Amino acid sequence: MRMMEFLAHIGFWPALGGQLLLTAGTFLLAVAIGFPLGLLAYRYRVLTPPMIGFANFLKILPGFAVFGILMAMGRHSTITSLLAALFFTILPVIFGTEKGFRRIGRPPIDAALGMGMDPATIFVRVLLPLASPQVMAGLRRAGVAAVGMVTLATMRGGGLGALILEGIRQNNGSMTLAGALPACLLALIADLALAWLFRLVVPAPLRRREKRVLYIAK
Amino acid sequence: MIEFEHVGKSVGGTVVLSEVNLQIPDGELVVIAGPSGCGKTTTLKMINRLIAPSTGRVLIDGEDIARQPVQALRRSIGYVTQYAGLFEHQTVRQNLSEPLRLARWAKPAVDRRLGELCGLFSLPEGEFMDRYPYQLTATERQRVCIARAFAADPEILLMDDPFAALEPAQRGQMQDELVTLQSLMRRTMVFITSSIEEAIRIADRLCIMERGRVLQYDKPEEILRSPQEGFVERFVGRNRIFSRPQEIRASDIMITSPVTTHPEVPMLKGMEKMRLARVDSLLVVDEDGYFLGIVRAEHVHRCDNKEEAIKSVMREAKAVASPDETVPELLAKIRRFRVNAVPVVENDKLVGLITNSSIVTILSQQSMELEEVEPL
Ligand SMILES: Nc1ncnc2c1ncn2[C@@H]1O[C@H](COP(=O)(O)OP(=O)(O)OP(=O)(O)O)[C@@H](O)[C@H]1O
Ligand SMILES: [Mg+2]
Repeated sequence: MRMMEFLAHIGFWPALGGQLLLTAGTFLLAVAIGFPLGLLAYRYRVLTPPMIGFANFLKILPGFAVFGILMAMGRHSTITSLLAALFFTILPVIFGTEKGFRRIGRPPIDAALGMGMDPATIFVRVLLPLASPQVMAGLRRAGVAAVGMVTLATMRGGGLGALILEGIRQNNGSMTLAGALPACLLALIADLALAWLFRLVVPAPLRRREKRVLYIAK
Repeated sequence: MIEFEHVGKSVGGTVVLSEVNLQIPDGELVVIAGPSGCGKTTTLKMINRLIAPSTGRVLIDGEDIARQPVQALRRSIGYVTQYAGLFEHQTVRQNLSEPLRLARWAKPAVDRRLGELCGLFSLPEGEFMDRYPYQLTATERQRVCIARAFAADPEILLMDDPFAALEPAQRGQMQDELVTLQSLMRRTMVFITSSIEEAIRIADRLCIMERGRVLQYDKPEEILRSPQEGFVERFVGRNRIFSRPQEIRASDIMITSPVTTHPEVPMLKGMEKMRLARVDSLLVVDEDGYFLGIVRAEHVHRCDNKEEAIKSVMREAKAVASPDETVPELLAKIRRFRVNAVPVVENDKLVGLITNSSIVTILSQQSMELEEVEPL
């Protein structure tokens, strides 16, 4: 019971609730924005280099440092930080989508067109399934990124990040752990859930290949 | 009938096709052959409007296809893409059903059709139909690809180098099967290849392209017999000209100036001529070039009076050939009459001589096995 009291005392429950809400929101928003952007990058070749280049540039920056800069610049309202979190979460979605569609190549599209399929049908029946392994892999990375980024973004309050930072500042190990452990657990859960979604969405023959690719990549 | 009228295509300033004029008659297997990048795919894709011409037009049965509803047009044309065009996420059954789905066939009709397709393309039914493309061998993939193009029973089929990825042995077999299939179905097929052997083997009509232009368009035997000077000649290849014995004619391989003699020449002179020319017989020809017969060295030897005119030991030729007889026919004659040479005669005049060894030399140069011609 002391634990419950302790958690209540440090404001764990609101922080966890906020964290969950913000993570889910960031993730969904990232997908909603990143997927069309990825499609744009795929569809219009001129857009590909700048978009992917910019995304790559962002990817290089360490997340923690970026939030540090934002704080130092004084624009450390949680909203600004959340926007930054959203940005970092969108990246894997754009990457995954662009890569997934890009690697389909011409032949299946030509085959589908040649049969007399209309573009909408081609998108749903051919392109989407064929791109799904990379798209879903992107979502999976985005899900994990969302947990991490929201944790960083909420250092000033609103999520588990606040507990971690406050615990460090007060030299209160229990408090830090109360923020850090659930954040880690959340990341694991997000990863597992999205892995399960991956299996659900990606057609069997493509799953098999994706596995191999992932192993090589890791 | 598919017609290309002054078709040209340029992409970003580079000319990909220029002034292509082609007539592809109904029910023929037309092969477009040429080196990589010569515009074969571009030409093919204009037929199902995957690429639009920059200039000129393409007509099917006299109608400009640019004016036709594009999806309906494509549904009436089967298409095998260059490189793997199967849908990797679908089973064989789903792949084959896709065109039928688009044509809104009912389920029982689809099932019946799938059965037919399996028969036509030697695909095992049952479990095979539930496999995914990655579980197929290269040959099976190609079979499924072609079967899919045939699925909705289109009048026109476009095939973009469908056998490129196959091993030579399988490739040969697929070519044979395609030819058999075509003789059964009589569809209008446009087939692309960069292999001239393949082209010759299957084509009813052959179109040789280079750098966006059609250089020669004719029956393959015509192209082999008289390839256009320059590129076509090189592309077809000196050795491959007449690579099928059925297409090699007597006039192509005969000795055009055999050793002849006049009937009134004394035997002694005739013997001298044979000795100098190192031959064992002379063809007897009169002053107007009419072929009379053959004089053999052995017959001359047996004769006592060498002052006599050579016509006294002349025999009638056991076999003569006309200039357009083919190698198998010539070989059959040589075997049947047990001769080692056959005079070639046109309108009773001697025009040349075929020797057994010249045929064998030609065939061996082409690395052609004699067994192949024996049945004829
Ligand atoms: N979209 C394009 N933009 C620029 N050039 C193109 C384009 N499409 C084709 N080309 C060029 O047009 C030429 C003909 O292309 P095409 O694909 O028709 O060749 P091909 O004969 O089918 O060659 P292959 O045997 O390699 O398939 C090539 O030189 C190619 O580089
Ligand atoms: Mg091509």
